[in-house]
Amino acid sequence: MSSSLRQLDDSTSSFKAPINSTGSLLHSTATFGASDTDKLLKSGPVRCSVVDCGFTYVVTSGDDKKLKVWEVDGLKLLSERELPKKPTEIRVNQDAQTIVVSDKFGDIFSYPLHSDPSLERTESGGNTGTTKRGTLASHENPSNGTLILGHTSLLTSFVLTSDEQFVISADRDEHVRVSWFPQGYVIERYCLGHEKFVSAIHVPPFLPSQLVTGGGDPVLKLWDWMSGELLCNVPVRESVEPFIAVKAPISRYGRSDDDGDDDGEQQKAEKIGRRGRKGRGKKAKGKGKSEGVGEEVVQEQEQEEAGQSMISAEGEGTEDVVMGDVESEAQVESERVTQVQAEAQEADATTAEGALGEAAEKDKLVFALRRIDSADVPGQGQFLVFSAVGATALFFCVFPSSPHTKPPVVQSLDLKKPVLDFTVGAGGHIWVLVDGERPGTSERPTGESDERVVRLVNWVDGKLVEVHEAESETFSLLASLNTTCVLPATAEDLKTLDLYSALSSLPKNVDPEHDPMRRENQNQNLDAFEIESVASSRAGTPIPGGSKKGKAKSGGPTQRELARMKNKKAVLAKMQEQEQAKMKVGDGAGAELGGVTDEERENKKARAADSEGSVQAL
Amino acid sequence: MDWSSHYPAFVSTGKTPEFADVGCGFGGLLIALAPMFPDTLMLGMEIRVQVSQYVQDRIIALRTTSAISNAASPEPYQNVSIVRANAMKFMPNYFPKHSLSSLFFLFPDPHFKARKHKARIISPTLLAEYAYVLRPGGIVYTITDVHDLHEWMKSHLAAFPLFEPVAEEDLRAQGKGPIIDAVYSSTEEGKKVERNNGQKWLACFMRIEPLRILGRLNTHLHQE
Repeated sequence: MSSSLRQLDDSTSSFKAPINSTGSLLHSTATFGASDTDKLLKSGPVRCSVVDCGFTYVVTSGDDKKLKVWEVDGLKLLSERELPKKPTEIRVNQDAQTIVVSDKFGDIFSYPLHSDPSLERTESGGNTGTTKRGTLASHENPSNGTLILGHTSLLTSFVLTSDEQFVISADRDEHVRVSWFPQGYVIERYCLGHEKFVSAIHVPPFLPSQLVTGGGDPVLKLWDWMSGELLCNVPVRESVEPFIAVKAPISRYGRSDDDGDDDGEQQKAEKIGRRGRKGRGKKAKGKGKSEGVGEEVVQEQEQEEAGQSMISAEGEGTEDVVMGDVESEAQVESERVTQVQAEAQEADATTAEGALGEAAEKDKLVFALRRIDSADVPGQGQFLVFSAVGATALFFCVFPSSPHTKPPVVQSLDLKKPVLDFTVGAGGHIWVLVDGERPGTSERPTGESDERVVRLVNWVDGKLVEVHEAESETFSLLASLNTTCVLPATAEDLKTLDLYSALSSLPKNVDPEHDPMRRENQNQNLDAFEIESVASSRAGTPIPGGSKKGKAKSGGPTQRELARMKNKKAVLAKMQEQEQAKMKVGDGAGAELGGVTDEERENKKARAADSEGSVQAL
Repeated sequence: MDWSSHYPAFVSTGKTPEFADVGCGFGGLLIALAPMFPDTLMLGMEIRVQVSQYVQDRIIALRTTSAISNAASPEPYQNVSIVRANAMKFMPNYFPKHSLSSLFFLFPDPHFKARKHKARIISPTLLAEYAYVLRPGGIVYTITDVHDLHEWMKSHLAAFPLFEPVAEEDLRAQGKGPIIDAVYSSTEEGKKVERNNGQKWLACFMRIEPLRILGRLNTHLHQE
């Protein structure tokens, strides 16, 4: 596995006086010496990265769970620490002293930016909780980070509020949680209302008391995060869906819903199939984000745009599948297809549950937001901008003013290639990373397709338009990002990158409609025929988490179910008696009717519960 | 969260549950507590479908068979209900902030293996959620017959900044004796332990107010 970090450092230009802007590449780990490159190759793709406000440090991490801190100048690796689980997001606080990392297990840890090896030796504490660290035995902590907080499911994203007094975190179980920072153990509020996973959250710099969230729901939600009040829903799904070009392959062995796996990994069975194939190299792409975008100084802003890290990978050997090469594209696509089939077969052989033995089903459309951001464009207004996984457009709308009557209309800018990520600079310029070499599908032919990986977008009259022509300072940066920053990669590289994995990993398989407490057999006429039909219908309904004993035998209702129905019948009969008694007598006589005292009934029920399988018929 | 289907007799009061039994099993504790606190709403949470259905049936039967048409006092067992839910994941969905006065963890699953410890109902990260639903001054009651689990729960709760230990005698002195007695012996699990001559360990904690530490995090110091 290989990865290399390449970074552009552009000496900046301000609106007032252009200083110097060449867009030329200053540093790249691709040009490091052989032994260093080998180490990097082993680390795997960079999944998260962040630059501090001052543009002094870059922090990266990936599937290898190593937290690396680099100096921007010279790309000098300052430290390397091990994280307990795979990271999902990294942030640095404003004074560049603290790194905050969220992981797939659901935890957020903080680490000092400058690693102090003497503090990092973990004290060995047993499970009995005798030492301070021992009480955290349920959470591994190899680098002595500080546990800020934890969710009980995959933590998709988090932000620190502008005053850094709170941390807002979101998970796959539809929770948006506002906690104190750094005392993450104090939960201030939950913003409840999402019905599907939350994968993108954002606090607009120009309105720091509000929070925008989105994920699998067909709407964006706007909140007052301190009170948890929902201010507004913005319907987005209809506008996004036509642009979704990448679909999620349907996994044939029901993926377990439990993300309490050791690494919070999904698709474990599929990974077994993949293990035999150690790719020689792969391409990792990500976009660095810098903190503190709200700086006044344009100079820093330009620097921030330059400071995004384009992370690309290089194969170990000297193969050169040049990106954007038209001939190889077809090859890549067919390779991809054959790889998927080969993998499906391999996984088939290794799955323990026994393959279904059919051809892979068609892919399904998954709606998942990737990133939400905002733009305060002088003279044009305030906007929300967002992207969705696998969608070929960037979406925007006017920032909703609340309370209001109608939610804003969502518009889109079609970039023809799936948008992977984007970042908003001050003044509104948006740099967009697209999957440039993904061929158009037959349903959406791209015609003469623009193969560039990085695109630049700006605001004109309240709408997003793409910037093509040379436009003073930014053009040279755009050109060089698309040329010198791009590294070759093999098809296997791309496969390992797994750019659209969120489509499979985020949605849950739970049926929200089914409530096991609302049982279907509430009807009162329980003659023999209906008992049987009702019982078999219950056998058909999925019981999430139910024990094996609960599954009804296919040959009709179980004895327990019969007993339960008879109990029910008796209770209903009793209730009817009481109703009638009340109507006749007026008051007070209801409790005396009925032959069986409730104590007897209690005992019978307790016995029936204790001896599972044996039946006490009333 | 719509409580009207759970507590129809209390719809007009706008009350929400104050007692929660996490992993209530067959409902023994709540059914013992319900007549003691007829004006307090209490909710059981149980992840097993069959068991929760059983408790639901049991409550309906109790409400029906012990109904007294005496308008002065609330009907018996109208204040107790159950929901089939995963309390570890969805606690905040059921209870508003600081709404509970008592939280019960009776004979929880010990998850003996080290790699399963993270599935235990008491953990450093979950305690934040329990502290969220429990009001300051509220009490967490834990009891188990597994000594290792008792030590685990006690040490995690003690280490958590928002909980401080409270002794059984003090609780009894405050009038919570009947609750503690019910915790010891009203559940099926508790009775089973007695039948097997096992030992039970109780550990109770009170939810306290946090002290807000302002300013930047200084990570070079070990945490308090």
